[in-house]
Parts: sequence; structure tokens; C-alpha cells
Amino acid sequence: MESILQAGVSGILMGGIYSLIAIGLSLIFGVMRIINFAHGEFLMVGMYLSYWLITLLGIDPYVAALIVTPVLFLIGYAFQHGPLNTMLVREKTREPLSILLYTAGLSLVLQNVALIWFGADARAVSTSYTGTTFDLGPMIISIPRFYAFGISIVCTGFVFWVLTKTEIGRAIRATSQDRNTAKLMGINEKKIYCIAFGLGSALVGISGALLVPFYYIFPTVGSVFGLRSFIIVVLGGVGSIKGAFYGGILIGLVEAIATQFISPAYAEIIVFMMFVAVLLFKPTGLFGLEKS
Amino acid sequence: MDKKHIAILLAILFAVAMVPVFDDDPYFLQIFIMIMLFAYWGTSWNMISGFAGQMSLGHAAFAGIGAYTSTVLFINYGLSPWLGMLVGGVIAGGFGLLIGYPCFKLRGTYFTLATIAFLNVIRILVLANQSVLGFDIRGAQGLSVPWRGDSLVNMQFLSKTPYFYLILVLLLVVILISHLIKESKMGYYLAAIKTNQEAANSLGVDVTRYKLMAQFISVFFTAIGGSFYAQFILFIDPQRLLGFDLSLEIAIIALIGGQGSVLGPALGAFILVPVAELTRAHISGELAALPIILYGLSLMVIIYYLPEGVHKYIARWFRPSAK
Repeated sequence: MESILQAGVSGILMGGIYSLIAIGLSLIFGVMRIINFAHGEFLMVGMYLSYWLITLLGIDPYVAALIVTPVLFLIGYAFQHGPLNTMLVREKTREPLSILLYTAGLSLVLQNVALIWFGADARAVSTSYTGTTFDLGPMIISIPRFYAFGISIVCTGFVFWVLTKTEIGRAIRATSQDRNTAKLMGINEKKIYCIAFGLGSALVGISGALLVPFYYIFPTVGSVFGLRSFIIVVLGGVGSIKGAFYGGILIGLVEAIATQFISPAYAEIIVFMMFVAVLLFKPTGLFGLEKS
Repeated sequence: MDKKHIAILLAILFAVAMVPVFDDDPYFLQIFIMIMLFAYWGTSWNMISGFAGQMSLGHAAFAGIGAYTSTVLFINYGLSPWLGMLVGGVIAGGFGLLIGYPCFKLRGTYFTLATIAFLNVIRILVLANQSVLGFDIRGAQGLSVPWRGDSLVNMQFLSKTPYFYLILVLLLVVILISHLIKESKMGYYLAAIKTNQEAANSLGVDVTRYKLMAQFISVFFTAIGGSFYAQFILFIDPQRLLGFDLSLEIAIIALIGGQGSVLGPALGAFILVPVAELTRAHISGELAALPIILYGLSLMVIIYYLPEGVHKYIARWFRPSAK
């Protein structure tokens, strides 16, 4: 019984990070219908950046997050502003396959540049938080995971606030609903795309920084998280931030419990099968939410 | 295609066929074999992804199924890989239909994501299991193809030259089939489906049927390629053969060369694979990942500047009036 609880809590905590990564992707996908195949690699970049900030400058990991976030925002913004906007305009059809392929190429490049630059060995940082835990009843909670979860929730709330209560947020939502009408209303949709991509990348950057205190860092770390985030976005309903949030928690939970009671390999298979099932039977997403 | 084009292509074919006669250095032949294998895989992939527009990024799964099937049959029943590869092709084809039937309902990127999901499921299943249906597949350790002597029946040869001609013939076969499909009614239906599925459907094209047909053919040949690979390398590494990287490489080669055209993928292979293989040979150690970076960059550049692939560009040299 205790192990279910432990696995469950562990899963939910991890789910918080999955959610954050997925929300980042959801923003990008919701607004521009772009599948950023390099989303996971941006996470990897965030993680390595954090790593170096921590090991070279001795900064506290959560302070490093404050630096990594704007950097990733700028990287995302730049990509959208440059190549992606050009391709988006060119491809007027529904989901731009060309951008999926372009970002797939980008992900290969980023992964392997990291491989050459940093080597394949997994790195771990030893921070003051690493390995620390506290007890909650019968369970042992890892402090860095707990912080990661907490900060993810806060960030999610912040994103929500931005989307619902600010001018920019409304512009983003308008653009994702109908880009042409939004243009008619005076919204510079290209700029919105850049902001959305930047924001999505920033979220993935924070996630990376949050992972560093307790997760291994290696060049291909992005692929697992990246693929998970696509799954979660679809699971939660494309374009739905709430959906991505719940989806992330759900996947974290399912994964943890399945890993505990079956095996890590079959846990992955279950996640993939859930994904396919949702695609086939409930394409609007498990939570049936269309837009947030 | 007029006589001039056919003549040029035949000349190229002849030149390629003569390669082992002039230089049978095994390393040199190896590069050519890999070029042709990827050209073969790219051309097969193109039948569903290029012609029908259903971009699959999970095709490596079928190469893997083909490889494992023919190898398991070879190990356990001594079945000649010539037959084993056909069996592998059919079994993979079955999987292709099984996966395709529900997934073809999905549009564009969703379909692609689903193919990736299935690829991963198959890969994980293989990695996690030492045996399947009672047959030993060694899971993550990979399966060795036993050397049973230099023989045609066993599709195993000491020299690289027979492999060279084998893959050359296979490549010609898929190019021919690709051409036949493209010029047939099926090809036109697939093109219609690719352009606008709903419109094609409303005009009476049986969308599902043709997609499944293209899928089966594509998967069948991809699997045979996998069997060839197993017999050539004599080892199946599931991480490689069932990996997303391989799927993406096949797609990249076809895309760079020009998906939607018969010779595009082969062209792509002839451009990219030599560069990759040569880089791999001369750069060692840490920079070993350079060829993959090249693939990634090529994809980015081509998608951005020449989304139709290099083939369109070159075709213009041959017929400046058309298209």
C-alpha cells in the first residue's frame, strides 16, 4: 500500500515538470500549430546551461533558473522570428509538416553538437539540495523534486494569469483561435508567434533548470522528455493549457505506478498506447477541452 | 521520359554495375552498398510517405521486423534468407496494415506522431524481451546472424561483391515498382490523396484502400531491406535498426533527394550517404557525431530552401520547358 502511495506521489511530483514542458509545447502548438520537434532539445540546452552556471559560477540552481529562462526565451523568439515565421507563411495548409521536419533536423543537430561538445557521459550536479528529503507521513519526499513541482505549479499559474488577464495573453489566445480575424483586429500575428515560441521555450528552460538538481544531464536527455511532451499535449487536448497541465500530472502518475508495479519498459509502452488510444478515440484530448 | 533520359540512366546504371569490376576494395564497396541500401529504403519509404503524403517516421520498425524474422527463421529452421526475407516482408506488411488502418484516419502531424509511438512500442518490446513466441531474440544484446559459410543459399558471402550486386538488384526492383506505381492509376489516386484527401474522397477515390496498398508495398520492401542488412552486417542491433534515428535518416534521404519523385530518394542517398560514411571513417573519437549533424543541417537547409528536394532542381536541367 505504501509503495503505491510513494510511487503515486513521486509520479505527481515528476508530472509537474512534465506539465510545464507540455504547457510550453501546447502554447507553441496551440498558437501556430507547429510541432517543435526540438522542444526536448531546448530542454537539454536549458539543462546544460544550468549545469554550467552552477558548476562554473557556483550559482544556486534556482537562481540559475532565473538566468536560463530569459536566455531560452530569446532563443525561441529568434528561431520563430527568423526561419520559422518564413516557413509558416509559406505553408498555408493546416499543420505545417515542413516545420516538423525542420525542427527534427534541428534536434539532430543540437543533440549531436552537445554530444561532441560535452561528451556522452551523463553528468550530475551536486547542489546543496541534491539528495535531501523530508518525511511526509509514511513517505519520503525528495526536496529538489518537491521544489521543482512547486515552482512548476507557480509557473503554470503565472502562464494562466498571463493568458487570461493580460493584453498579450488575450492577443495570444485570439491568434490561436483565428489568426486572420486576429490580424483584422490589429494584432501583429508574427510578433505573437515569436512571443509564443519564446514563452514556450522559456517554460522548457525553467523545466531544465528545475530538473538539474536531481536528474542526470546528457545529450539525448531531451528526446524522452520531448516525446513525452507531444504525448501529453495530445492527451490533454491540443491548444489547451489546462489539458496539458492535467495531462502531465496524469502521465507522471501512470508512469510512476507502472514502473513500480510492472517495469520501466512496460510503463513506457503503456504511455505510448494511451497516446495512440487518445489519438484514435478521443482526438480532442482526454480532458475534452478545446481552448484554455 | 524520353530516350535521352533513359540513355543517361542506363549509362549511370552500367557505370555503377561496373564498380566492383574496377575496384573491389572492400571498404570502397561497403560505402556503395550502404548508399544503395539507403537509396533502397528511401525509395520504399517514399511510396507511402512521398506519393501518398502520409509521412511515416516509424519505418525503421519494419526494417527491424524483417531483419528479426528472416534471422530467427534462419537460426531456428535453417530457412534460407531468400525465403525468410519474403516471410519477413509479409509479416512486416501485416504489421504495417495493422498500424496503418487506424492511423490513416489521422491527419498529417498526428499520423507522424502515431508512427513514432508505434516504432517506440516495437523497439521497447524487443529490447525488453529475451524471446518472442518462444524464439530467442536476445533483447537488448542484439541478435547475431550465424555464419554458415559462403553460400548463395544462405545469402552469406565472404566477399562484398555479391552483396553489392544483390542490393543493386533490389534497388532496381523498388525503383521499377515505384515508377510503375507512380505512372499507374494508383499513383494518380495517391497523388490526389496527398493533395487533398477530402476532395479525392468526394470524387470517389477509395482513400483507405489505396493508402493501405501503398503502405503494404512500402513496408514489405522496407522489411526486405532489413533482412539484407542483417545478412550483410551479420548482427542486428535493435537500438540502431529499430531506432528513431534510422527512421529519420531514411526520411531525410528521401526528402533531400525529393519525395514524390521516383529517383529522388536514390539521389538523396547518393548525396548524403557518401559524405556521412567518409566523415565517419576519417573522423574518429569525439567528432564521430559529425555525420549526423550533417544530416540534420542538410534537412534544415533543404526544407527551408528547396522543400521539393534536390531532384526538382536537377530535373530542370533535363527539361527546362516542363513544370
